[in-house]
Amino acid sequence: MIGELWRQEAIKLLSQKYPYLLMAVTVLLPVVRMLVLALTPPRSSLDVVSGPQLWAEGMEWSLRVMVFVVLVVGAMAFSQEFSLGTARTVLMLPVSRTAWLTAKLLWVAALTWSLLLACCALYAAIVAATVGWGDVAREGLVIYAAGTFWWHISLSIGLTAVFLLPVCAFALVLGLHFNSSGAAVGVAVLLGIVLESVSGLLDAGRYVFLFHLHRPVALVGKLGRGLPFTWETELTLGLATTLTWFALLMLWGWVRLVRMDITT
Amino acid sequence: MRAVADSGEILRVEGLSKRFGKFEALRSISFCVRRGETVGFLGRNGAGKSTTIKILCNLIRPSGGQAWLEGEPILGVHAVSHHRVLGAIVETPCFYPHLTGRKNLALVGRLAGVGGDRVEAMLAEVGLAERAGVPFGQFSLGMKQRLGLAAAFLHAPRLVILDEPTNGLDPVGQRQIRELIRALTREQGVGALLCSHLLDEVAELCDRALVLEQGQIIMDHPLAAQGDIDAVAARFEALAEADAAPIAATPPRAAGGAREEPAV
Repeated sequence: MIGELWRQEAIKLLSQKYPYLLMAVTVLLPVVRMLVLALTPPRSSLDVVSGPQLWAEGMEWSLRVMVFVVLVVGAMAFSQEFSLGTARTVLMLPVSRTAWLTAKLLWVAALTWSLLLACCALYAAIVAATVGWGDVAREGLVIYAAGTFWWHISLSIGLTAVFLLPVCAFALVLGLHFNSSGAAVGVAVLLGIVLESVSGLLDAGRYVFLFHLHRPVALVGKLGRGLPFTWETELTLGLATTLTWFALLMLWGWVRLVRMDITT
Repeated sequence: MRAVADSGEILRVEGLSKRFGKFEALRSISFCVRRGETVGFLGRNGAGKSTTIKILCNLIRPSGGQAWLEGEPILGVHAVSHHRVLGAIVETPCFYPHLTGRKNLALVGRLAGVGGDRVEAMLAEVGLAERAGVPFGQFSLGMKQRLGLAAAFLHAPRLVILDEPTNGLDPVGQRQIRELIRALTREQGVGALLCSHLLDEVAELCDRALVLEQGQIIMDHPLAAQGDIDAVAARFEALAEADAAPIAATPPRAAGGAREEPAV
């Protein structure tokens, strides 16, 4: 049943126009930035862009937009069903509310991860076609060789995918509180901006207990600054709190959905 | 839990009640529907008809009471298996506006475990075969009601709950939908609970009438002869007169909204 519901989520979303616009902005806007950086002749040695730097630049831009795309798609997942009245149609079929919530979460997460991988692959291809991949060196010291760089990228992208999960859950839960998809999206984006700003202002000790909205960007940004991916204590705690947030948000969403009266 | 005593009953409702805050929408109502029987569920606006139907479809949670479908308790958000033998239209049928009628019905069919052949057969039966390629958002109200009926009867249910299926239709549309309901229920031997405030519709389609007033069933009357519906109509007139009495006693408003003082 969850598989069929997941499939239907895909049909419903991909038969609309707005997701394509959002995905195009997420994927293509950073491409312009990357091409400008790669094709502009450097005026000094400081302006020379390495392959990993160029890739990370694209990913950073993309992730900033991606967080908001996830918020929009996630917030609309339930609120659109309520505003159209189709929640009634679905729940009059042999569909449990738990299965419905699970399918929506899996769909939003799959869409997010697909977008993440698509950006990752596209930007890697752009780097290969422009400045090329090579060793990452600083002041003559090789930080990581071209072969090991992919390991660092994989780790940071894998962790980024995990850190995007609570964003999906946050958006889904918000959507459960609105009968209007416009209101749900508006509030989700507004809260996203506020949370990102607030968490950026906090020191590391308090930051890990907050919602990790800009963590994905920070993970990739490190690679862009020519630093190798390293596992820090803060990251372990951040990952643990992120997963706890995810579990709590999903529990909140589940309680909300199974207790709610579908009156629209 | 009370089991169904009469094996001829397909639906039994016992002590169903619902409170919305301090407002008591349903006050411990009990009734049954027998196999192949069409029961008219009559009442004025706000009597509690839609609330009862939404509870039976698990869209809203009851404050008390239970319902059994073929002897199995059905109330509770985790009970979904009975939706395989229950079909329903609740208020205006809602589907995804950007998908065609055919695609919408196919989505419903897949969740109900029904194949494409049955979808096409139902589209033909409700007279939508030729217009099923049109997006649902462009459907007229009559076409929406027809698609709703197709969805309700798609999985060959043993009980259908129809909430004002001719609401908002012109006389010709009403006639067509009634003929369709008669064909689908009588010819297939499906039990039906038909919620309506149109006495002629109930007289034409139903074997029995339940009259709901202020959350209570005040009349359970067979509809075998013309005199039977007249008795139901007389009950409605009595209710209207009871309501009209205090209104008549209220002094009329003068132009500008000021209330005229009664002459002493």
